Amino acid sequence: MNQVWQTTTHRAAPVSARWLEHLVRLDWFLLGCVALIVALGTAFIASAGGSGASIGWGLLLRHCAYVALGLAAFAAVQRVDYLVLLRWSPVLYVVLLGLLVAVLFTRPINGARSWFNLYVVNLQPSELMKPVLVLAVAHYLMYRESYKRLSGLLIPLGLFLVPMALILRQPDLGTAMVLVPIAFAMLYAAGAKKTDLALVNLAGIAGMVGMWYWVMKPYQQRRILAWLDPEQYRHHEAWQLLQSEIAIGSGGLWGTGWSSAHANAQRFLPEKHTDFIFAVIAEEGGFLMAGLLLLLFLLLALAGLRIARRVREPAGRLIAVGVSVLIAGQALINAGVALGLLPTTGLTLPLVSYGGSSLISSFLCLGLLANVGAKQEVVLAGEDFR
Amino acid sequence: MNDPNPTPTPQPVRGDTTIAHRLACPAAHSAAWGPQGGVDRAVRTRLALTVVPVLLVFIALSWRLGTIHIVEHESWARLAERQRTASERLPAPRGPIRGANGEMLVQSRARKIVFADLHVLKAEQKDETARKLAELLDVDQLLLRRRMDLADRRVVYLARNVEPEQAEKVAELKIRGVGFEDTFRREYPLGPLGSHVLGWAGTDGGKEGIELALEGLLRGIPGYRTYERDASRRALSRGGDVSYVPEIHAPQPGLDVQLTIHPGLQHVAEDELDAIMEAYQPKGAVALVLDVRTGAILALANRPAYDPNAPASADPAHRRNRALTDVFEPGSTYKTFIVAEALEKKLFRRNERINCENGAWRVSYRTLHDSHAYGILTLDEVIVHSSNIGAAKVGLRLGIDGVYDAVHTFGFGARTRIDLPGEVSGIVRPKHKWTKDSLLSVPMGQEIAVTPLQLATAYAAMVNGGALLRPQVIQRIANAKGEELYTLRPEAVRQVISAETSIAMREMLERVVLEGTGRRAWCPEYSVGGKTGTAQKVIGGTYSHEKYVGSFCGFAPVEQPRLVCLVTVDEPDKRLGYYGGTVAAPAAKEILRRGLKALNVPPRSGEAQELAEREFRARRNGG
Repeated sequence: MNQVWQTTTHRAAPVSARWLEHLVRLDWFLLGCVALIVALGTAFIASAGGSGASIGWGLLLRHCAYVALGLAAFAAVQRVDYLVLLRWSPVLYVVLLGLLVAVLFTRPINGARSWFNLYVVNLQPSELMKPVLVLAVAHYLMYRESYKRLSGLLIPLGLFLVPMALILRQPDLGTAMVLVPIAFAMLYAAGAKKTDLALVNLAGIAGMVGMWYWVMKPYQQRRILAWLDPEQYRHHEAWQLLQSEIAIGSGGLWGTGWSSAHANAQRFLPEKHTDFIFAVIAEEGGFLMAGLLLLLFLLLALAGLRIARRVREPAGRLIAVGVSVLIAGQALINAGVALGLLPTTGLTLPLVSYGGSSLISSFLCLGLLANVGAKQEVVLAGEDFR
Repeated sequence: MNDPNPTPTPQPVRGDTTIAHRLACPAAHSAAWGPQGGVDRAVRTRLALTVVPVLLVFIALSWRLGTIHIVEHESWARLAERQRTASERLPAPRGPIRGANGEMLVQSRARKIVFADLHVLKAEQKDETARKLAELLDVDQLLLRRRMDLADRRVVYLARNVEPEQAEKVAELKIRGVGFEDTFRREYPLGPLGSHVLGWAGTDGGKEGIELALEGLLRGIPGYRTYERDASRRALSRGGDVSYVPEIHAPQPGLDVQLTIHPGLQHVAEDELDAIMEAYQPKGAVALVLDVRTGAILALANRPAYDPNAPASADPAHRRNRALTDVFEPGSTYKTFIVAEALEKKLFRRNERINCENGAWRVSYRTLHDSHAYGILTLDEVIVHSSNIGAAKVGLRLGIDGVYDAVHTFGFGARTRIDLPGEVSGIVRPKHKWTKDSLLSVPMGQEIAVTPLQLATAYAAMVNGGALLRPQVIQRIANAKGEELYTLRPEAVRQVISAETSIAMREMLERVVLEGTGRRAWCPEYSVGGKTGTAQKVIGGTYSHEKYVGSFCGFAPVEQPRLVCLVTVDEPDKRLGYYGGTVAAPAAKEILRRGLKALNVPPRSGEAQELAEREFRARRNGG
């Protein structure tokens, strides 16, 4: 009996010890970035939610609840072996495709059919699709070599295009577009030929032109025209864009101060606490705070890509690349919109913007990343198999 | 995990993965992820290259962020400032206008404008709002309701002159979309009294009279106040920045203007004019009272008149200040100037005898007539009895140059430069157009047209020792703090006659009242002098025998003249009376008498009055 007990202790450490070991293996640099981003975001949600100098307690409370939910999701996902998640990913993918189809039959909110009204929260399947899509694509690509041929790219691209098409139907241009860099990054990291990707890129541009004529609604077209010529559309389509730039510009180096009532964003910027939270941060926190936020997202992406470099298991590597590009890409696109470099799309700033689905989705993605990063490597040989 | 237990432990597959070891020397472990244990070289390169676009985008965004934040900060901040603040105009109250003794003649009262913001006022509330406001503001409900549907504007005025207390009641209803604006209403507490001097002011400033003449001084300077506003341009009442300091520029009220007009005297003048209107049914009448020592106008009244509180409802003709704007041929009142000029030039002696041709004198193609036939008259008596023939003979001796001088020296044919708008210069034909005929006409007050103001001013000069003074109505101007900025100083235009001539004229004019045409202007309390005039109006190129202007220009006291009073009556009903001595002289006397009393000029003692009265009666009986 005694012997048996001893053997077991040596073969498998007690639960507490395994936890400790897992915690040490986690990428704390990455998590530090995430913690800072979330803290910063929460502070400015409190400011943006209120009017003037007051604090939006209700909004802040709900945001904190979503953060808590997100953390729970993160904790859960980073602990389960991602290989298990990979195995289930095709099923999850199909389920979410189903949800994306189903959501098109709901009643529109703000002119888009993107949400299931679950009374407590509005569930946005397109947000949940992001981590699942990364998983599913990684799962498809991990044991194959077919993507090294142009024709082999069709299926993985299809995996992207089907949800993209469904999301475009909602319509939600931003979320659909943010999937594009993920697709390219994952296929490129997997080893697809550069010439093939360039061809796909060309086809994509052609597709965009086609979309302008056949898919995009007039209001979406006007948004792009407004972005090209804000003065012309000052009072309507470009209002938000102009207000965002005014808010950022009046922030200056040091900003107007947290929850400052001078803030223009507070009063004039629609969607200040969701899609345009970056403008609020840039106004109240100034160049320093906005620059810090961008830097944190860059470091987060670098940390994610470092994980990808360290991982030698192909699926894990793809997940790491996909998630890093997803979070950083979406953050940079969002900031680009606020800065007037990109047309208004209606995309949240991950980990910062108010909104349950977006927050939880981001935390799920980061859970996957942490999961991959903490995976204990089994070194069988000095080099990969060829 | 330095377990002392000697039992061989299965080694972890890759090095020592114990926590303590990993914490102690992370390098040893990270090496395991390093190159020698590394992934495929090509894949590693690809992963490294993935960083490149992310980095490029990051740099681009930082560049843009820096540009907006730091380089363009100023201009964006200015734009921001402009959109989050707005300014509100604070109206300045118009300055008050006072009478000679500080009586309030015109004042501005604070009022509220009630308006509706149609972007805020809810459509379903409009009926209810119109009903409530109509009740409180005493305006037509349907009218209010209709204004609320004006589609082409955002803000509509519902009521303009709302008392602050009434506005308070409306404010208590707390209707979203109904707002208030400060404004001032011009009030003329004495109604039509002095309306032609005061004029009136509308919402956009003074239109007539002093209100127009001193518009720039009375208007004041509006101030402004900045406030914070939200995206729909509403002022932020709460939730605004506590540190926001609104910029406030207080409005500067208009200057405080005091006139020379004596409200009591003005009242007497207007009463007398009303009596004339009643008794003789004329088209119009004018009364003017001047202080002969300063040129200050103590009363200026016109009939018909109007109420400046409701200028729009008055006939525009009634708003005309006839004393300045209307000309008439003066008739006999004009003879005195010719006689004065003749005396001044020493062409006549006062007792020089003039043949008045028994009432009809044929000169070239014309025959001149007197109303009563006189034989020989002295120069004095020509004036006393108002002989046309006598005056014409004086004119003939003066010659064209002399008569023309008499016209111009006394200021006819030129504006008096009074501080009121609308004055005309009268009609004096250029000298080269004068004929011998003019020498007959002008001395009896024909062929020239004058304003009542010119006539009164010239009379003042004749009796005050010879100084032609610019007539003035502004006594004093002070700012809201009470500091004096301007005060009246008599302005002599020129010396028109010598003091001796002036004394002679006074005596002559007193005789007019004692024994001549102006006997109705006589009063026991004060010695009065003056001259009557009964001018035929020119209708269709010939002198009418139906339409006259009766006038009387008097002054008092004779010994030391203080006031000149001119009364002209335009087209009195001929059946009721039309001689200047009949229609105008009694009024002028009354005005002079009461005016001197009001100015505390001591009247004759009771004894002297009796004496004067006896002499007056004796002269009449004797004359």
